[in-house]
Amino acid sequence: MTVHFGLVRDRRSPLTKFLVLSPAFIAFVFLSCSSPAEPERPPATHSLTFNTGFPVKARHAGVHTNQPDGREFVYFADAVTHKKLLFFDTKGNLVDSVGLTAGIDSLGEIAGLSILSMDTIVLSSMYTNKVALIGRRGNVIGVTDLSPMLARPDSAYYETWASATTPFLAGNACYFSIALVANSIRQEQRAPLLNDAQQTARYYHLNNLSPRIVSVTGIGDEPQVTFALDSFYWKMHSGPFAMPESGLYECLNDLVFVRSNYSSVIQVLSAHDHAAHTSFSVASRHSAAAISPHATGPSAIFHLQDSVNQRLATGGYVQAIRYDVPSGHYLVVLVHSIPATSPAEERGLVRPFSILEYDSTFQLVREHEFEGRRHLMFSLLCLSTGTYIQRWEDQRVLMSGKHAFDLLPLDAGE
Amino acid sequence: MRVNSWLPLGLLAGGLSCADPGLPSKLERTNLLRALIADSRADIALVEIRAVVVMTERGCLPCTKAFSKLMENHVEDPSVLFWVSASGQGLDISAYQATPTQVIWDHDDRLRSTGILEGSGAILLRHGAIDTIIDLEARGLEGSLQYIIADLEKTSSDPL
Repeated sequence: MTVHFGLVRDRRSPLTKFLVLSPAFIAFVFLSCSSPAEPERPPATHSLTFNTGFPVKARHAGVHTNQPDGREFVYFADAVTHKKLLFFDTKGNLVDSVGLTAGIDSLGEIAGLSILSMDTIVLSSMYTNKVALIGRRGNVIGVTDLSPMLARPDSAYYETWASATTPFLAGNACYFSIALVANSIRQEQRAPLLNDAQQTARYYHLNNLSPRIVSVTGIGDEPQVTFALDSFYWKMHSGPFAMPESGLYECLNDLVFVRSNYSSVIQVLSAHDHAAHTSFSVASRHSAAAISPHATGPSAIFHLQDSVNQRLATGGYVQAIRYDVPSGHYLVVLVHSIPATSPAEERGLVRPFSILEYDSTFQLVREHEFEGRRHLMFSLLCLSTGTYIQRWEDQRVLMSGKHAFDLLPLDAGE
Repeated sequence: MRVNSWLPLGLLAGGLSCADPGLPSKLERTNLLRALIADSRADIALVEIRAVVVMTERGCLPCTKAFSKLMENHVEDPSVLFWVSASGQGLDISAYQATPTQVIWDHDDRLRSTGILEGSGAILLRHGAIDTIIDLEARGLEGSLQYIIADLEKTSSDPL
């Protein structure tokens, strides 16, 4: 298979991206673009420590490369309790702190967070389909409500979900997974209610036939939405199949990787035209890569959530996808399946996992197996010197706010 | 022989203690709760507490968020004890961090392991004994919240 995209990281400056997103705020980006020199890559250290003072979340953590000087910053945000975003240098020194209170006041609740530049941060809301731009001092630059663009001809509408593991920006657009809203305070926008089995089955059926992804360009100016991956679930398992999932996609290198816990196939969209370019299938020597789908019917519908939780607690599925800069490989994190009869303490994210390396044409290069309870499989920092994985933390360590990351031994081979 | 001679007594005790041998009785739960609290905060006597409000990030998180917002009004009430088993990643725990006098932090899920309460909710007490346990769930949330608030308002003037 030959793939003619996604081999090169986005080389456009943040200014170019920003012009497309929001032409009104050029001045902010000028302030962040000072040194044109490309820094030399230091050798990778075996571990990094960041003292954030709060627990960190994969969705609100990552690496931002400042343009055009190429300096890397690691960021962590707590959008719930401490309500701030922290930037660190790659040695773990705190560089800057951005308050998120004004952003939360504008959005209600922050779901996704993406760094356009250190002066312009893009936030997405939970449940309300809003996107906000905030400045380095935490000031709100603008808020856009996407809801009118997400209404369907039948009056129901879609709800946006930010990626659960990465920023939601790719190319010049924001990407969100979407699901049909089941219940709304706005009566006319209600999809069939969940208190009736037939109606619920109809809701899931409509969801199965819905697009899976929406891209939004022109945030802060004239936003436009484009839907992609139509009938995503129906094409995956045509038939009565249910349980829409939220945020199961990753934005990496101007590509959008869209996945489902019910399928080992990952769809890859190009951020340039929002169309599906290719797909690849995840296969592991140690585990299944997807949980079994559900056949929904009137009798099964009310037990669906419990059933899904049980399957996810012991079934194998893809947890996250990342891009390792030194090797140029995509890393697919797969939690291993265990017997369904396993005791409670062995279920969930304490299980062993694999990291599967795929090259730029999505051919499997090698699989690395990891023990459970040593690292947080979904929390990875991809620096130019290597990919780091967060060390396992019990709640006491998590609350202490000091987090250690170990260099992934990807050179070690199998 | 010895086992046989004790068997009728054992059966009788088991039958009297509770209908479901899998669940601890109210008295047993009260003793478990008293021991847990004493282990963390020896200065708090159960008889001085009207409610133990439990905040976790398990189960229905939007339910707990709504519950927490309501309960923040009671965070300085000396007769309400907050039992917090949350990291702050899903639930805003800043009010409990700011006013820690009536807060017990349970990083090891000790309350859950006793079986008294699985997720978020309230343990309502009368005269130092468990009266009602409310486990918050999405279904019936509004009624549960109203019950807890009404109980706290009703008992605020009662002698403990």
